[in-house]
Amino acid sequence: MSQRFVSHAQAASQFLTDEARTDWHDETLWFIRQKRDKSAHALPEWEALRELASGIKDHALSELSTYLTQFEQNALANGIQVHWAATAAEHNQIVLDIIRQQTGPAAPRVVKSKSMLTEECHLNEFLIKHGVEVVDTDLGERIVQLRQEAPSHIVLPAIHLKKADVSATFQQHLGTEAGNEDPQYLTEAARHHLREKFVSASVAITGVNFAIAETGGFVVCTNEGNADLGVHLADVHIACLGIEKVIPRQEHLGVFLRLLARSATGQPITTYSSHFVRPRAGQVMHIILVDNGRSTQLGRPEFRNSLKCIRCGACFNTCPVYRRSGGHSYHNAVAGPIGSILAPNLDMRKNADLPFASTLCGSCTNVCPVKINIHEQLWHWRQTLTAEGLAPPAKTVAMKGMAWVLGHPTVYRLSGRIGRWVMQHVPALVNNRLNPWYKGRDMPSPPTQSFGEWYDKNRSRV
Amino acid sequence: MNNRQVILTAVARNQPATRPMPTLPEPSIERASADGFAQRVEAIGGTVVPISALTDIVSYVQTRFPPPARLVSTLPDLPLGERLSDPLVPGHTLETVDLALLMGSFGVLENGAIWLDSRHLPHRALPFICQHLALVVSSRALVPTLHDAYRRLSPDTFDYGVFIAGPSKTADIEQSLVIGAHGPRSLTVFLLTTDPSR
Ligand code: SF4
Repeated sequence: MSQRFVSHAQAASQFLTDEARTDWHDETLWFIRQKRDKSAHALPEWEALRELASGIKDHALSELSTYLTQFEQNALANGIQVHWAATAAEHNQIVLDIIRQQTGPAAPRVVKSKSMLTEECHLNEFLIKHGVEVVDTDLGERIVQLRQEAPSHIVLPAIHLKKADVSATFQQHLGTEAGNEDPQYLTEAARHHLREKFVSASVAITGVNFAIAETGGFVVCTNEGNADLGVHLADVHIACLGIEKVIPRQEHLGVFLRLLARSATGQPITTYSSHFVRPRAGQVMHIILVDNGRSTQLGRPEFRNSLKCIRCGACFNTCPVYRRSGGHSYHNAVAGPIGSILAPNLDMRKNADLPFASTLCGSCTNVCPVKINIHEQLWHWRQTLTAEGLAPPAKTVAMKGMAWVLGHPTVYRLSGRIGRWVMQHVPALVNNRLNPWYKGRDMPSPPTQSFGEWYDKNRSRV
Repeated sequence: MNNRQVILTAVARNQPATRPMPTLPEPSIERASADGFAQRVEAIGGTVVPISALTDIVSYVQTRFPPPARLVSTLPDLPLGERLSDPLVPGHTLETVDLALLMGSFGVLENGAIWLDSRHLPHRALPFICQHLALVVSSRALVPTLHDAYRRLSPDTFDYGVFIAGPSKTADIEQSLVIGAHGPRSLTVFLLTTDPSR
């Protein structure tokens, strides 16, 4: 995936060329948002739960070094091997070393369940380059993996695809009937294909939803059961987690698991919420704690809150920009509003466009189960990026021009009059592709006079 | 400094001043109703079969899974299926299990989930690799919410545990719900309304 860099705005306009498909994408995600609403409204204590979740995360982050140490000690006492990775590259190397140690020179087979962290670290590409066959086992992730694409959503990796796309992919790779688009049939084909991978894999990699300092254990949530199938059949389990995933106590899971699935898909809980504390007899278990920029983000007061994220995807489903631009336009493992906050922390220059991919409407903030002030952080990033000279050039030129006009009252008045005249008499001059504001919008019909002119004329009458 | 120290030092340096630990809600006062639980389980794709004695399970299972179906059960004293006594049996030998019949510890009213853990699980792979899963839960062992559930689970009493809520499912193909993703294609919950010890 090392093509020419395409900005969010460019990728979004590409996405928008298929209008029917864009509408479908938009409506599908909105439907999931509505399921979330229904589920949330069924709990009278919903707002109190969000407050609680936010408070627990605030507390956990404020004592993160203590909780990380406690988690490590307990995990070690439970017979789990604990590794620390400061960067994505270190994380990938640790995974490869564990695999090599396990399988020796034989071609290792690895199954992996959903983990946004391993996407962030580009683990798959790394392992494949080193001769390791790694199979994503979440159905949506397997679909995009076969298509050599990245997931477009953290909870619904193949949400950008239609049945026909999946059918064609499976026909090509799994030999299903041409033109058979029945989801039941296609899922059954994937079930057989992946069962064969599960029973032959010697190493299973999973992500982690929550790590518990008090017990040294961790929780993984899935609907398909793929994480468990992989882990319980393989000799080695490698669990990869970002350091921000640690929560103090087991009882706190009650709060987070009540919020997670309801916010994600509207389900009251995922089908499986698996609690791993000690390896089973004969199994080896590893945990890799990954920083990769998180400790830096922790030190930035205006962005620290983003570390509270439990990756439910609710902010994606509600976002008017995400819904109409698709996950791939964000060129980052985590897309959507929260991805646009996390990405500049990983690479400010490359991801400078993302905080601008928002209307700042605040809907994300309203749905977030851990009460992250998402839209405010996006606004903060815009300030930071502009100050660093990294804001997208079109925006910078326009803003500089605007600042100059606003700083010169005579010019401001004159330009307003000229603008209105132009929009009335030669609208094509602004309703064209050269005007970035016109893209995706129709310019409004201009008033005949400005507010200033109206005020001057009417002041005497009041 | 090694990685661990580098990370922990950076975290300690950058973490904000201590914020208070919030207190969790009080235990629920009301009892969890068996009917409400049954409705929840059905709503998430499970099938509920009320029973008044464990022996009721036998005929139900025998009609639906006649020989040569492979049954594995952890219920003592029921003339049904194989027992798995050796936890070291390789998981993939369980691939041919048609029905696994297991005892659940307790159920959660608000979401229809049933808790199972290593203390009662002969092999961790069993509830996932079987084609169909049946769990027994007593109507006396129901709690209203997940908060109540965690109160029952004292830390450090299990090596592995799982909440199971319905059969395995996916909606990854155009949001169409398909039951039976990788795990069981169905979940039957035998809801026991009298005390099994009698
Ligand atoms: S930022 Fe909030 S809403 Fe968005 S994925 Fe994270 S927890 Fe969910």
